[in-house]
Amino acid sequence: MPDEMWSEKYRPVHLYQIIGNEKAKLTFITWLKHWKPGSKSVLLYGPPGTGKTTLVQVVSNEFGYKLIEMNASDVRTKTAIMSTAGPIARESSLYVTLYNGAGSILFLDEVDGIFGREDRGGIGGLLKIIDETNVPIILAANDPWNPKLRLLRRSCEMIRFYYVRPPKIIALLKRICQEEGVEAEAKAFAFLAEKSGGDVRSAINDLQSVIGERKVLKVQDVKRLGMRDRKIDVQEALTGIFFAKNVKEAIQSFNNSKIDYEMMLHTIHDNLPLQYSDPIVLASAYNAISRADIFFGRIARTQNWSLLKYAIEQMTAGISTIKKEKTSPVHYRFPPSKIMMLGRTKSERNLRRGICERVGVKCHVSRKAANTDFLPFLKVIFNNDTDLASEISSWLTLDNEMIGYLEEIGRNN
Amino acid sequence: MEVTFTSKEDAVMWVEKYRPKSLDEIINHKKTIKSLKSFLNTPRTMPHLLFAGPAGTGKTSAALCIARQLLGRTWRDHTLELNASDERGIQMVRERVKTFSRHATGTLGNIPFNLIILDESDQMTKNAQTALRRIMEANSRISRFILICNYSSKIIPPIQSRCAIFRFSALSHEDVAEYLCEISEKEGLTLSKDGVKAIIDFCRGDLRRAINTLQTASTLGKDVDEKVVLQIVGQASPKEVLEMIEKALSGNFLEARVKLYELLNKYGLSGTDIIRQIHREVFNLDLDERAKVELADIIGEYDFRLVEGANEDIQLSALLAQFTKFNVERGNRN
Repeated sequence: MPDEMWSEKYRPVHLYQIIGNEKAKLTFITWLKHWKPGSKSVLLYGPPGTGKTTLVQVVSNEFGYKLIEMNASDVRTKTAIMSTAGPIARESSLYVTLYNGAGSILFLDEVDGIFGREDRGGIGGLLKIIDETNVPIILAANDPWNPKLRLLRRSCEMIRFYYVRPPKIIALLKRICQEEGVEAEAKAFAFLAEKSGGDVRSAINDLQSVIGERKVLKVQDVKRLGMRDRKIDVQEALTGIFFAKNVKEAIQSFNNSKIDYEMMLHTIHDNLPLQYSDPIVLASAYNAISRADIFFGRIARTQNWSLLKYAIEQMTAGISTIKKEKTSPVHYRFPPSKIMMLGRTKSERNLRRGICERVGVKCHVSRKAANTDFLPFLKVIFNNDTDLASEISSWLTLDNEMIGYLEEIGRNN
Repeated sequence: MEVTFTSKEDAVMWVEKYRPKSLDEIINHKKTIKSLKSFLNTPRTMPHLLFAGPAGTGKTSAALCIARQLLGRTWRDHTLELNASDERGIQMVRERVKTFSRHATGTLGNIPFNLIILDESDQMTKNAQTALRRIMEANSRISRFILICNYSSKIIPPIQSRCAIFRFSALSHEDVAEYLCEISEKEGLTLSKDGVKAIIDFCRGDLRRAINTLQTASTLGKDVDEKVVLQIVGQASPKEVLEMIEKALSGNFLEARVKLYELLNKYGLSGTDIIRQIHREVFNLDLDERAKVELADIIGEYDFRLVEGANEDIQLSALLAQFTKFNVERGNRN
């Protein structure tokens, strides 16, 4: 089956195949083995792709339970829960004995995603079932601290799942590649593991999407994948910031993105003139960015990180609250041109740095002073007077590349 | 006044070739030099020194003269030259000072102390300076520090109080002219009066820039006059600064910003350099005088923000945005 998703194909069947979260696994099995009517239910919680659902499925399979699963794709109103879960929970031990098995487990996945405003009774109904159940009930959630789940937390034993560490993910990805006959560059695995942020499922999905039909895995493809994700993120975040209806929304848009504040500051700065063409609006927006940058400067000097909030307010809400012409989101540039330019000019900068270091040693100045007080003159000399240029070159011990650089920038002017 | 030089034959750049070798060769800062010379007679009474003043006024030269005259022929073995703007962090300074002290102590002999010259010391953060103060204390038995900076107010008071402070003011135009003429004579150049004036207009009291300008001008011929100097100055200043200002003032912000990125990345200029050049260029623009003053006010505000902020490209872009806005508002007024 070529179209099969690897995250399903390689979903663990046995307990030992589940990677990471050893402590959570042990706690869970212990809880299940000792469960009897009246015991607490269990709430598995943690980031996505860390093995909560898989653990429940594998354990019930290995220990011979009949798993009754309800997840977010089912309609989970109060009525739906009561009609499905109710009868199972009331299942008597006699029933279990008659059917000669370990019995059923009721598994409600993604409980933080259910129980909307219109369905406040849902939790109450579920609590009642948990209180009276004759079978173990397992709940799972990404964010257990959701206020809606407050009462549920009290009647459950909480088991935390952590991000899976990169070496384990790398080992798994390698194994998959071996089985699929994919030729892979070793460094690519580390990139994928890093990018997944400990989410095994997304790491496998990324692996599959990068490899595609080709049976080869290259580092450069993986890097491009990361950039693509971030581009989408940036587009969303910048739209959110530029078009926020109020201060809270602007800050929220920044917080929701995965871009750190420094990268975000540069990205906003880079995209400002693309978004605002009216010079007066642009100047006001830049004033806000400039203010934010001043706060960053103060933070850098004093290490007083409590100033960070002011900087973030200025760079987000400071822009969105400006009264402006009617505009719509544009295609935002990412990564910022400053960073692109730093990459392009790297060899030039290294050459210049080398020249400045040599000038600095001979003429008792800093590299900075060499750059401003000597380089502009040297390039003129190197373009006018080859004799003096070669004398200076040997005095400063410049190499050929450096000499070429000085001649080149002299000509350009 | 007679200027005499002992020229360093091997040096190719004139700033080094004609750098004073003894305190007597420094013609300006009379009082300062007199006090410094008194240390030469009783070296052990010399405290730590702090030289403050603008660029190209002879601070480093004075420090090197002291090193040479106090420590004699082997002065290089007992002098550590550091530049705070090059050394990454105080840790590096501490390591270098420590290894230097250890290395140099054994052979102190009849040398009064080891000398550590720390240039651009006002580039250090407050924390680094506090650490420096401890380094100074730990080494004061066998070492003396000469700290060099532009602004003594940026040096923390505990360090200031441990140093004798000497201020170097900008060279007078007469002094700069004197040096330039002396070098011209030694190098067989004919330097005209308007040539001198043109160099001074460009370099103010910064002798280092003045000498570099003169040497560069000499590559065009033995006769150096105003025309030659202006040509050199034009070639030496990146034309992008003026282009950037003109683009911003004609409402083309995006292209102005590209020029800015070039100045920062391709030419590696610092924000302070760029803003200084913007300030100079604005007064040469074809604008009414009132507009120039208003622009200068904007430049002043962003010069201040540049020092306070974290990212030079952001502050300078914000300045360009203000220029673009200024252009629109002036259009509306007229």
